[in-house]
Amino acid sequence: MAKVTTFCGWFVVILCLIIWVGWQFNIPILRTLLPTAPATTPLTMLILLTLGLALIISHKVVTAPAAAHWVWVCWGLAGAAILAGVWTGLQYIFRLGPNLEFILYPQLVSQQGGIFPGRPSPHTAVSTILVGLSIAMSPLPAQLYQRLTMILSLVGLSIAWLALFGYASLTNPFYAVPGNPSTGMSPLTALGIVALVIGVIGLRPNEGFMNLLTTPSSGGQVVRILLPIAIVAPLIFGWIIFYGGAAESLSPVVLFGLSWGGTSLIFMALVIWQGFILHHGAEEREKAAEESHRLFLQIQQAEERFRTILEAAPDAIVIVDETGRIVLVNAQTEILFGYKRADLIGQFVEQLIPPRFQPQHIQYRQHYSTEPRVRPMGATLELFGLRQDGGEFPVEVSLSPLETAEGRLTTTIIRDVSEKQQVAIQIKRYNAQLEQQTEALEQSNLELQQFAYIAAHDLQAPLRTINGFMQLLQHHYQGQFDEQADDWIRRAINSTRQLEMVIHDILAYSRVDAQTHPFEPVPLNEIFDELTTMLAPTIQETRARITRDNLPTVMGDRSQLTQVLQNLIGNGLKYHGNLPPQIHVSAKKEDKNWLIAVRDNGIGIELEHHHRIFEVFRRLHSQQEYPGSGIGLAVCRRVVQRHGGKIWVESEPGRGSTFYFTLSQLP
Amino acid sequence: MTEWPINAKPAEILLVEDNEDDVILTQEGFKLAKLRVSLHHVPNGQECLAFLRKQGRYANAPTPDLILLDLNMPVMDGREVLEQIGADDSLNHLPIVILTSSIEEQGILKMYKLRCSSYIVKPVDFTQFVRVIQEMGNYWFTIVVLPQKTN
Repeated sequence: MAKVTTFCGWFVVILCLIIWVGWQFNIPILRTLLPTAPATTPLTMLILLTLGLALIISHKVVTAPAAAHWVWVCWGLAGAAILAGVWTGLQYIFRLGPNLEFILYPQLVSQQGGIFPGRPSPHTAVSTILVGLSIAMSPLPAQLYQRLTMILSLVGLSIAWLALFGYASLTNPFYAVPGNPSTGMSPLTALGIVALVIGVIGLRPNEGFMNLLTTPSSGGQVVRILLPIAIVAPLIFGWIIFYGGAAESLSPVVLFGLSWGGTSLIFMALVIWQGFILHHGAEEREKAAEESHRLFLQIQQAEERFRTILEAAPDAIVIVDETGRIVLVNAQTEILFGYKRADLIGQFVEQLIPPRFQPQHIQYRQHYSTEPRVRPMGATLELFGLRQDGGEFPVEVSLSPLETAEGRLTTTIIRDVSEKQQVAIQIKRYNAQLEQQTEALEQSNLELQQFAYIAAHDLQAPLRTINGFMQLLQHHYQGQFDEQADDWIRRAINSTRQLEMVIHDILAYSRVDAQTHPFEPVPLNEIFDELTTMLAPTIQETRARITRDNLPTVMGDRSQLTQVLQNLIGNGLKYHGNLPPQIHVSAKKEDKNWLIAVRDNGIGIELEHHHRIFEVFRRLHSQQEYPGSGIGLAVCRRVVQRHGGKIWVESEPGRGSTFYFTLSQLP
Repeated sequence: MTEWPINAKPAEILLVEDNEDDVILTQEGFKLAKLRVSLHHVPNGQECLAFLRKQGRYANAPTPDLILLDLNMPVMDGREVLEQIGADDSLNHLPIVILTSSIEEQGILKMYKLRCSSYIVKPVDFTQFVRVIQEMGNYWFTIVVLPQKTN
């Protein structure tokens, strides 16, 4: 569109050159286009030429920043044209001289007919003044001048258009001075003016009329269709009816009627067409409005959902922009920090942090913005929140970056962990208490053990004294009292022997923890072989058979492990039924442990006693049936426990027993 | 039953023991063991050293062939007696048997390091105690060759 103005400008310049050629070489058709029409006078030709050039310069000024003097050149050219027009008008009104029309070709002009040969017609003068003014004002950007430019040029155009319509419809007064048909606006002049006005309109394609012409709106559509038809249709109609009609010699009234009827028909068609266009546009608009409303509802719904989630969250959620200012908070934030929402939005997030942490937080925040990443809850930092009333509370914070159209936001989820911390403190306190109690218990346990050991140990001396004197009594005085006395002495001695056994066992039991040796590799095969050697007399006496698998070497206290095997094998030898005892020791690997089994064919143990037999002084038989103190298995359990293992029995009365215990493998 | 040389002089034994009951039981034990010994008794370590050095009322005391030493005693205990005798050149050749009711493992090692000759735990049962005395007499006065007396 920008080229329209330049094209029009040069079109006018070339038109003027053609007219000049018409005058110079006396070729009438080049001066008038139609043989019967008035010619374009040399003065008109000059006026058009200056206006054409002024238009070209105005375009230069409007489209590109040009030096100020070009505006002056434009005004100078336009001004000259206006002055020539004004002068011509004054000549008509006041019959003034001198006559400018004879400047170039006086002889040729005077040959022309008419009252004012060579003088531009009043139509031409008026329209060139209007167009000249509009071109002069066209470089000025102010809206007032733009409006004036448009109005003046359109008025000027209408004069030229009337002239063209006059030629088309043979309506003489539209182009010529009444009573003087050879003085009028020539068709070439009219074309030139039309071209100039089109050029002026094309100067600013995005404003005013030109904008309307080019806009895709339905208004622009209407103008684009209606205007050319409104311009062209009357011309064509005029031409067809008056030129064509004259040939058929129809009456002028009929012709007039035809002309108006045709025009009316065309405009009816156009109106209907425009109606469709407008209707279609309205439909489209409605559809678009519906669609936008639907989208709006969707967005509203999504927003609603987001709000619900945000507000229902059990933690405070604070969304912060890149500068650290709070953009959004939820209800929980208000509850937790005691602020109203409005008091937080737009504030720096540091408002929620105790002052002593603020500088560090700002630094941290800036660092975070350089490499944002999701930071989960309960990370290392110890953080505190600051309520509006100045109170502080411990918090855990998680961060996640949120890219949006308005830049990067950070979603901060803040959880009050006061309760959690209090619980942790409570647990710590309980643990400390428990530890203390355990320590105290261990201490008292140790003291008890030592007490038992010392007591048992110290009981030995008086017991030995009693036993010694009772035996002396028996030795020296037996048979000197009566039989009763002898029996009592015997019973007393037996009791001291029994008591001695108990003391011996208590010492053995408390010695498991009181007298320990460092752990060392203990080959169980060796222990077994030593034991069978030691027990050889009993084995022979009971005709027992004691066998073993290949036993492992384990870590432990050699003397205590010896005691365990000795007690278990000893039990097997002791608690046998009618058959001679058969005892077998085996070992099996189980996970990280050795499972040692001592199997006998003895009397067996009732299921209900399987646990109780490992208790201290727990005996299932009387001294008369099977003598013993009830400490052997308790010692076994204590030793195995001290070695980190477990001991248990599988047995049925009459079907023998198998004692199992576990020991750690060598590292 | 142990063979005891008929014509030999009875062995001189010094019993260092504070508990009167134990002294009686030991004396009776020796009698029942039918050992021909001359058993002397002192109640504590200090008296023991005085006896060995023939000091004060022990001026005429014999040099014992064997010392039976209890550990826990007032005034001066058995450990100190061992140390003193070990440090005394005129006495440190004397065999010393510790006769006690205590079975403290660490204590036993310590006593041997102080060069005691034997460590015997007195059995609670008197009959066994008598057997121990018999075995001991057999060992020290029949099997072992003791140094010649210097007085």
